[in-house]
Amino acid sequence: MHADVPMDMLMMTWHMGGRFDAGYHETDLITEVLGGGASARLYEQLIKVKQLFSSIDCYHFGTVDPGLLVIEGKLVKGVSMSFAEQAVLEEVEKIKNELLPQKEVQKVINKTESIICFEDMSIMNRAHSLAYYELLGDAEMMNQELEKYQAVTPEKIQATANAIFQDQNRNTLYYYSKN
Amino acid sequence: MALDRIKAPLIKDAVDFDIQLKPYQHFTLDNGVEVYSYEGGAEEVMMMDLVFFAGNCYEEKNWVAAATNFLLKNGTHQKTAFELNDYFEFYGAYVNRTCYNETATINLHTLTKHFEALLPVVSELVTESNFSEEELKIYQQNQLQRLTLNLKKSDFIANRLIDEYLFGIDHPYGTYSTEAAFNNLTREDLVNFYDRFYKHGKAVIFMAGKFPKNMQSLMNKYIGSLPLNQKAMPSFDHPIVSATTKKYSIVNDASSVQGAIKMARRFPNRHHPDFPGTQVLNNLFGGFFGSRLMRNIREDKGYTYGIHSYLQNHVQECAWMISTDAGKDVCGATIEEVYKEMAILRNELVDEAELKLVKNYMLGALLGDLDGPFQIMNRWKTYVLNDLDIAYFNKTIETVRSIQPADLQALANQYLKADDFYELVVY
Repeated sequence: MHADVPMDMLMMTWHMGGRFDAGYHETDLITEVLGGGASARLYEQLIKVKQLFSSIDCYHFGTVDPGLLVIEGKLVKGVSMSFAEQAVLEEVEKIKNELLPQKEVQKVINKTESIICFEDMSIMNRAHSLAYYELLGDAEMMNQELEKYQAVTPEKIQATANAIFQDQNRNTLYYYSKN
Repeated sequence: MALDRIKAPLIKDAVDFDIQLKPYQHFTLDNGVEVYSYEGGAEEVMMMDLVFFAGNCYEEKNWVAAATNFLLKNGTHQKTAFELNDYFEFYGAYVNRTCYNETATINLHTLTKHFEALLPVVSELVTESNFSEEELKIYQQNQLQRLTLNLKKSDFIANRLIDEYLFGIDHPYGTYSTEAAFNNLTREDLVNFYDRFYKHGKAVIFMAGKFPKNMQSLMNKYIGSLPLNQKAMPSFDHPIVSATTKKYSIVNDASSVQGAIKMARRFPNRHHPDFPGTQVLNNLFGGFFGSRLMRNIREDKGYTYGIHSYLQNHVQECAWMISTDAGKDVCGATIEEVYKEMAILRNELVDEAELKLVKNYMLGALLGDLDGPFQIMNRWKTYVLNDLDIAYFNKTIETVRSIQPADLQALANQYLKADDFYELVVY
């Protein structure tokens, strides 16, 4: 796609399972490893080290039904789209082929614990979470969420990454600036 | 007390609640830095806000304060940017920094159990940041690209220009980033600013949540031992120079279908006796979804998705702002309707039912806003940094409860005069 926008953008999506599928919590942690914060892999490798992107995010839609995992980034001016795409895929391949260090997995689990605790601080959020889990079937699930993340291992992450990050499972949008 | 789930709870108006702001605790570190804290909450979490007097009013060159604040987390003499981020994120902590006009902050959110591991590294950010050329270069490149993108947006342009008209481009509230400002930043600028306003600067600290038992001694060990609050702060005088022309129309993108509209006037700061009453008037005028501006210009005329008015708060002097995006062909009509609503507030008394709704909305919003220890501390922080105390909180509530239609009309006649407003449309 070409449009009158200020800079090039790359968007890749992969199909993923829904809230009740095996691998959901693993997938959530994969998006944290790749895109959660300034020590995440995509940020460090593609913005800081290789300087191919000015911003890059990895997230998923968190839907109850099967949803999408997304990587999207804005390219630094002058960087070619195919080169940038290749660099993203290299990071994706790494997560498929190399077992994550235990410390990195611990980091994203710790982050998740922290997110859950901070969310539970306000009365409004607590009410929201209770209603959401009750909608899913049982409000009690709110108290089991952290344990599900704590049960994730590097091996489970690798298996999930291999199931999701398949070329035939991917859609890619190249959004070019006309300027 | 067990809840009776069979009976619906009684509905009580927000104005009938006795609203109190819980008091803070206070202690002073060995180096004289004051710590305001509020302990409470159900979760084992806490936050710490290190506030430095290092806002852009202290800079001698555009954007040095903001760049210093941003980059102080991107590498110290001991750790690279990646190592710092990785360290904080391993503990699931958030370390953010923000630069304002008077102050600039380093903010930590963490689980209580990790505070002791994190505090020494937060302290390192105050004394050991190294501002490498490499990090500065990446910052400049990314900020320039972001600026290029933002300059395409009419709303971004309008926000910058209206502040410039109100306060002047040389005033900290009126200045903004430019390509030249980013390009002209040097490592030396940042190192000097950091040394003066962080490492040897003046700070005040706000903390909230559940604290570890040895919190005070940890704070003294890692923050109380730093050379803060030792040097007198430079005094500065930034005169406000408002533009003489009041009406502006600017074409930023000839093909745009919308215009960004800003209308604004200067307004006294929170110490002025009219401030609390004007907050009520502002809510009635354009401060919430059921406001006059919203009902007329969104619901009735359909010129916009939303229109808001607000008091843009600053320490020295505020501004009263009306902001919206409207279809290109109805921008003129939108502005006309805003003036009509001002005239109605000047000429007619608000009826009791509408005023009661606004009062309930404001006090209900305040109750909702004081949800949890962080929010309570944030309110105290605003008061401390603006040299206000509990009397201001109580007076605001008392004013909301007791203000009469005639008081609001008098305020409208004083402050909602069309001639006092700047008017800007950016297409």
